[in-house]
Amino acid sequence: MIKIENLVKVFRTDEIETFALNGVNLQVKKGEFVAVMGPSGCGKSTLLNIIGLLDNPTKGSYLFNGKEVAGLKEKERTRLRKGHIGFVFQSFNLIDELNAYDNVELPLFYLKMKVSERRKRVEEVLKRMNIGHRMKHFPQQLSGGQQQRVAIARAVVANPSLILADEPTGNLDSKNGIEVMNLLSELNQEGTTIIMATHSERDAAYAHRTVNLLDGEVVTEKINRS
Amino acid sequence: MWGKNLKLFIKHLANNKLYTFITVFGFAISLSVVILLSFYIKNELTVNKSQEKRDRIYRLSTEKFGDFSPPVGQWVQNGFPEIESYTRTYTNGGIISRENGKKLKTDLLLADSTFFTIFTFPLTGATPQTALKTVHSIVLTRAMARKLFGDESPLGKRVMLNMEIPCTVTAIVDDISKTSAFKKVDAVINFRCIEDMWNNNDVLSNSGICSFGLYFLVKPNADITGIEPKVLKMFKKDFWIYKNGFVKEVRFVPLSQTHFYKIVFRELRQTDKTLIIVLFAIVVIILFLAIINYINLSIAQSGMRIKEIAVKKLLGSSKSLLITQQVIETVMVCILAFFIAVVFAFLLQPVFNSLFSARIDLRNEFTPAVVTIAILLISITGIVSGIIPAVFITGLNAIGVIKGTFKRKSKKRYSVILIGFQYVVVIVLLISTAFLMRQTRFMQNYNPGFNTKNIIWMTSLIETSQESGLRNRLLSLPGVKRVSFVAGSPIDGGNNNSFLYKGKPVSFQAFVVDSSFFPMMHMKITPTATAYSKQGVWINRKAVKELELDSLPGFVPFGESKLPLLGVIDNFNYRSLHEKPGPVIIRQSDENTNPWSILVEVEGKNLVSTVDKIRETYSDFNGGLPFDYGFFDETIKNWYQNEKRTSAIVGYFALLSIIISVMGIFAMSLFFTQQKTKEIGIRKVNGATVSEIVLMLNKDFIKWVFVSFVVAVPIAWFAMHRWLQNFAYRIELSWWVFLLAGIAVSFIALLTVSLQTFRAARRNPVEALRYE
Repeated sequence: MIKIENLVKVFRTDEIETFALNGVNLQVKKGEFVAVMGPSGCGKSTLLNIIGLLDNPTKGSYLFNGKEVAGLKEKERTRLRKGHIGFVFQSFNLIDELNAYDNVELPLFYLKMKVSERRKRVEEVLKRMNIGHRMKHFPQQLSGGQQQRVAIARAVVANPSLILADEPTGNLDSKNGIEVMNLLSELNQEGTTIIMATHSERDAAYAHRTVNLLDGEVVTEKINRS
Repeated sequence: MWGKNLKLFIKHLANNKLYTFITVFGFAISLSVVILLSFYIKNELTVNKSQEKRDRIYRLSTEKFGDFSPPVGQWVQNGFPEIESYTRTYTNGGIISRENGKKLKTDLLLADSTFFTIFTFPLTGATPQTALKTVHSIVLTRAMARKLFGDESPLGKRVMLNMEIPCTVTAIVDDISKTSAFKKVDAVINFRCIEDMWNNNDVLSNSGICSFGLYFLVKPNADITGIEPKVLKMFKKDFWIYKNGFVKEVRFVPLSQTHFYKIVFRELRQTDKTLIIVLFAIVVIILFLAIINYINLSIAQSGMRIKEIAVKKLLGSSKSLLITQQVIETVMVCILAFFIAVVFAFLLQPVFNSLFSARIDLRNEFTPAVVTIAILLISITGIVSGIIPAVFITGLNAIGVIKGTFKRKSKKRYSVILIGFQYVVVIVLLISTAFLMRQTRFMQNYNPGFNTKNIIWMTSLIETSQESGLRNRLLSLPGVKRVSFVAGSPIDGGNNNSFLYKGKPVSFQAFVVDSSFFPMMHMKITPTATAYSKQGVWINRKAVKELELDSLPGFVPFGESKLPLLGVIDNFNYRSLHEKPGPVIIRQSDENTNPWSILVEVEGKNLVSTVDKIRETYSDFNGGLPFDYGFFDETIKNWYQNEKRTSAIVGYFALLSIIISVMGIFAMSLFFTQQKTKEIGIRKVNGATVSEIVLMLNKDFIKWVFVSFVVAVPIAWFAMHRWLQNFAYRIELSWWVFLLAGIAVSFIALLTVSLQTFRAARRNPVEALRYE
């Protein structure tokens, strides 16, 4: 599903040049659950941004579902991303001015789905995430765990083939963290490919495979389970 | 420490050039207009401040006009001990020349010998009591004296008035229009000289000629309050315009009010007081909007300095010190804007003076005292503008800022109201400008009922015996079609003849014309059955109605006479379209007629050279005297100079309000797109395109414009409806003008806002969302 070769990402300012990624090679099969680990500043988030088509690499190749997507313009990347890739962030990144229902509905709105179809899907996924009873609540009115479940609901509502999760349990206590990891595991078992950046060994254990990054390069890969 | 803070601030300004430019430039533009308007208002309100006896000087007026006949002043002085003295006034053009020297066209003020004892104008060469002592005394302004005499002293020298009246220069005076509301004149002449000028020995005793201004100086501590009804009683008995019911009121108008009075006083420059009040309100609004926009911009920009402030707080800086720093920075920006504003004001001064017919000279206005007060006021403005953003910025949670968890929320509704208010102002001004311009153009192009094309008028400076010779010479020129000598034409309104008809006062405008007049004018005339005679007259339809005649009567009663009526003319506009035309009578000239205008109809392609030849030929006949002339159509266009000026003023203010509101909405869009950075990132991550984001952001701003439009339309409609009532002939308030203004403002708002929203929408969502 994902094939990355010699991926380089350089951040340049007037004075300095930073190699966030320095020749990364990575393949992810459909249905895989991959954990990306490494210390702060190793390039985990940069790698996820590029995989998620939020950013372009400076050099290298990125095949997404067999299509070369490195260097695509923003409009193309948005088109490819819509409905195919879902995101879960450490700080949830819900829109404060929208309630849970409206937050989850966002991807379907931008897919120009009919209102009735959108309603059906949103209610379904909120119910599945055990947050249906809070759909009219605003993020400030939800606990951290509840907010992250709304964020996951938003990530999956369009049935994406790939979910990118950046430290999904970073702001949660262990109970909520486990709940979230169980949800992600469930989704993976249903066929969704998941790539997750994490500091937590416990969370990484849920993945099939762990890839370790250091200074923008893959240093080790470990199979956790088949 | 303060030096380092100053360096930081200057660096911040240099790094945010757009913000700095909009803030400083927007403020400077606003302040420059405030400066000019403030000086204008101050000058208009203190126009008579140099007049030492201003509290004791009164102008006589009726409720309809401000002209009286020569004997009236003496009647009042004789009848009322409160009156210390009086002076009559009359403004007229004339020609002053030295013997065998230059001839100069001049504007004259005729006034009694008491003029300089009533009004304060410093004189050189004579005392106020002696300057106009004799009938042929003349007081020249300094500028006119220089033109006539150069460096030579003019005192005691002889000059000729209108080539035939010898006068002696008794004194020099500075420009009287600079220290009073009198119009600019070149010389002041004794009022009694009018009999020589008009060649009529009866003028001074003739109570029938109501053409002169009249000022009274009352005695110190005299009670003037009860005088009006007593004077009215006397006038009703002895003065025909009151006796016959032409006017009903006597008013002693204090000098302080004459400049703003609604009745025309021909010798004065007058201003509409409403205009001054409106301008004052505009000054306040401009300053208010400029301050509000500055506050909004500062708060919007605070995001760029939030970290600096937070770090300073954490390192021990007190809140009051931070606030002081912020306020000092704002005061510095305001002072910088002020100095730029002064430069702008100097650049705008000529346009401003032309628009307002003002004579502001900023070199004289910026005295040390004024500069000190201005800097003080600017500093206060700076403090007021700076304190709100300062309190806001320094009140932030420093740790939250450093950790990046700080979320800034705004009270959006206040900003919405302020932006909305600005847009109401812009829309009202745009709509008003459009209607003002349309009404002015309508009036200028209106068919007045007579031919206005290719007709030149010239003031007649020749003897009646020369008329035939001049006519033949002019007609021999190629391009000259017709020549007419008239005493009264549609562009000067003729003379007024008033009399009682069936006990009711009627007022006619009378023109005395020759046989070339009607073929030139192309007026629509319905002839009567009356046989032609030299005494035959024509009247207009309004006259027929006023005199309650049959539609085509054979005779018309006129005063004591009954005149054969040769035809009825369709009403034509001999005055501006402020009024409907009144009754008109047109008589035929005879050997006793003294025409004061020569009308020449021209044709062909080379109008410029034809006009030159006409002027040369005329100069041969009038001895090279300078004369007034013009084209009929241009003269009619000039009737609407006031309206043209008003629409230009409103137009410029519309432009200014657009600039200020652009500043405001730029600030708001900057602020709110910053606030929405994270939301934009989230939406983009979830599939929103750049255009969808731009649409979402713009929608918020544009709906304010719509709300403002709904509020502005009734205000604009009401204001324009009221203004148009001043005109007997007026345009409709077309709906599409309102709509167009709304569309224009939406477009401007959209353009301004899109600069920010597009930039925000194009940002990489990765930058907006924090990951690690």
